Amino acid sequence: MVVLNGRLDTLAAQEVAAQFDALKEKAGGTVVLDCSQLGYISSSGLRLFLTLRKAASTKGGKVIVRGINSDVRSVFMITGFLNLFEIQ
Amino acid sequence: MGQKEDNIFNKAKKSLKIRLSLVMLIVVAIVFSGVGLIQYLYVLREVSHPLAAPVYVGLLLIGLALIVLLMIRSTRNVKQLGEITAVKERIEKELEIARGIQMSMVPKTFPPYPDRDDIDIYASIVPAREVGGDLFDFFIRDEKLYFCIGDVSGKGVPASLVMVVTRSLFRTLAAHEKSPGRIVTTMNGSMSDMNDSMIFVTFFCGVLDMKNGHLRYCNAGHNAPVLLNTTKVLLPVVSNVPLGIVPDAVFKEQETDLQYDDALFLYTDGITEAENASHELFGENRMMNALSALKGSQDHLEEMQKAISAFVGDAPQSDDLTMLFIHYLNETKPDTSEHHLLIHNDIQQIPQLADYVETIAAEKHLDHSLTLSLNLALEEAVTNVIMYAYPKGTDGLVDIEAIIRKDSLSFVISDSGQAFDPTAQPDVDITKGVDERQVGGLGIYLVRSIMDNLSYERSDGKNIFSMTKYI
Repeated sequence: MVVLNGRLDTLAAQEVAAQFDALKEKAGGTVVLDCSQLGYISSSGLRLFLTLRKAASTKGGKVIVRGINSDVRSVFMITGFLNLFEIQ
Repeated sequence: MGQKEDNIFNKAKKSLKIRLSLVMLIVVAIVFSGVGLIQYLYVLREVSHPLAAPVYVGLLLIGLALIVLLMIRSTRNVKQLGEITAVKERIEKELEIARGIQMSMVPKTFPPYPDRDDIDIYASIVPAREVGGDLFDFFIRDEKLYFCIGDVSGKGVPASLVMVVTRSLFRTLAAHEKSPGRIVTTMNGSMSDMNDSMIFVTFFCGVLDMKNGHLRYCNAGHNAPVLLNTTKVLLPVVSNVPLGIVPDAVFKEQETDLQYDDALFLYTDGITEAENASHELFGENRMMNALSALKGSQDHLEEMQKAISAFVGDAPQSDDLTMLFIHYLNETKPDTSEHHLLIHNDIQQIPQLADYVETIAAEKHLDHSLTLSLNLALEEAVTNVIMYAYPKGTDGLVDIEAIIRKDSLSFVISDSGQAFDPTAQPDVDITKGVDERQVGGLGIYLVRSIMDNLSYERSDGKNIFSMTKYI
C-alpha cells in the first residue's frame, strides 16, 4: 500500500516518478493507493496512475484507489479514470 | 577623444613657451633698433665721428632683421593657435549637435497629452555636461502608459552613448511587450553582452494601465520612486541589479494599484546627491519635503528645481538631474482587476501557481473546489508551455495575467517560445479501456473541461493563450 499526501502537481509527479516505476514491479499483485490525504492532482499525477494501471493490466494485477476526496474524484470523473480504477 | 584633447593641451603648452621666448626677442630687437635709430639720426644731424654712422646703421639693421624674423615666427604661431581654436570649436560644435540629438530622444513637449484628462505628466532633464547619461521616456500604447527612468554610470560622452542604446532598447521592446519584468530582463540580456567597458545603468520601468490604475513595474538597481497619495512614501521595490552586469539575471516584477489623484515621482540620484559648496548632499529628506501637497505635475517639478537650486547655490552641478512626475487622474474605474505572475520555464516554479490562484480566488470569494479546478487548468496550460513551447534546455519566461471581471475570470498566458497551439491538440478518448488509453493529452483535456472559453493567437513571435471561466 502506498500513501499519497498533499498535492500531486507537475513538480511532485516528477519527484515521485521513480517510486511509481518501482511500484510497477509489484503490479502483478494488488497495489493500494491511499489517497485520503491527497488534496490535488494534475495530469502528470494522473499519468503516473494510468501507467501503473496499464502495468497491472499487463501483469494481471490490480490497482485500488482508496479514499479520494470530492475534488480529486471530480478530476477522476472528468478524465474517465473512475472507470479505470477500483475506487474504494 | 581624450588623446586629441591631450594633443591640443600639449600644443597650447608649447605655444606658451614660444611666446615667452618671443617676448624676450622683441625686447632685444626693440632695444637694438631703437638705440640704432636714435643714434643714427643723431649722427646725421651732428656729424662727429667718422665710424659712428656705420656702427649705428649696423645696430639698426640687426634690430630690423630681428623684427622681420619675429614677424615670420609669430605668423606661424598665429596659424598654430588658429588651428587649435578650430579643433576646439569643431569639438564644441559636435558636442552641441550631439546634445541636440540626445535631447530630441526624450519627450520635451509638456503637457504631452493635452487631450487626455486622466493623466498629467511633467519631466525635466539637465545634464551636468554638454551630454549626459540620464534618460527618461514614456508613451501610451493600447491604453497603457509605458514609462522609464535611468541613470548610466559615469558622465559625458561615454555615458551618453550608453544612454542612447538604453533608450532605444526600451522603445523597441516596449513597442510589443507589456510586461516590465520581461522588458527589463531582455534589455539586460543585450546590454550585458559586449559590455567591455563595464558601464552599467540603473533603471526603473513601469506599465500603468490607464483604465484601472493597475501598475506593473520592475526595478534594476534604481532609486525607489516616491508614491504620492494622501501620504508620501517610497514605492516598495525589489532592488535587483543594474542593467549590463549580470547577463542572465532575472528581474522580479512587482505590481500595485494607483487610485485617482495618486502620483509617482521618479528621479535620478543627481537630485538626492546634488552638492552644495560645502559638499553636503541635498538628500532624500529635503527631496521628500520639497514634494509638497501642490497639485499639478509641473508645479512639483518647478518647486523641486527651486529647492535644489536654493540648496546648491553657486556650486557647480555635479551630476545629471532628471525628474519625471506622473499624476494619475482617472476617476472612472471599470469593475475589473488584474493580477500578474512572471515565471521561468521551469517545472520547479509550478508550485507558485497555487498561491497565485489562491490570491485571485480570495479577491473573488471563490469556493475551495472551484479554486482547485482553476489551479488545475492554469497548471496544465502553463506546463504545456514549459514542455512544448520552449525547446529543452532553453531559458524562457512565462507571463501569466489574470483578469477578474464581475461575472468571469480569465487567464492570459504568453510566452516567447516556438509556435504551439494547445487548442489544436486532439482530445483524448476517455471511453477507451485501460490498454487502449493513451497516456498523454490529459492536460489540455482538463483545461477544456474546466474552462468555458479557450483561444490562441500567435503574435509578435509570442504564443498568447487565453482561457475564461464564467462565474
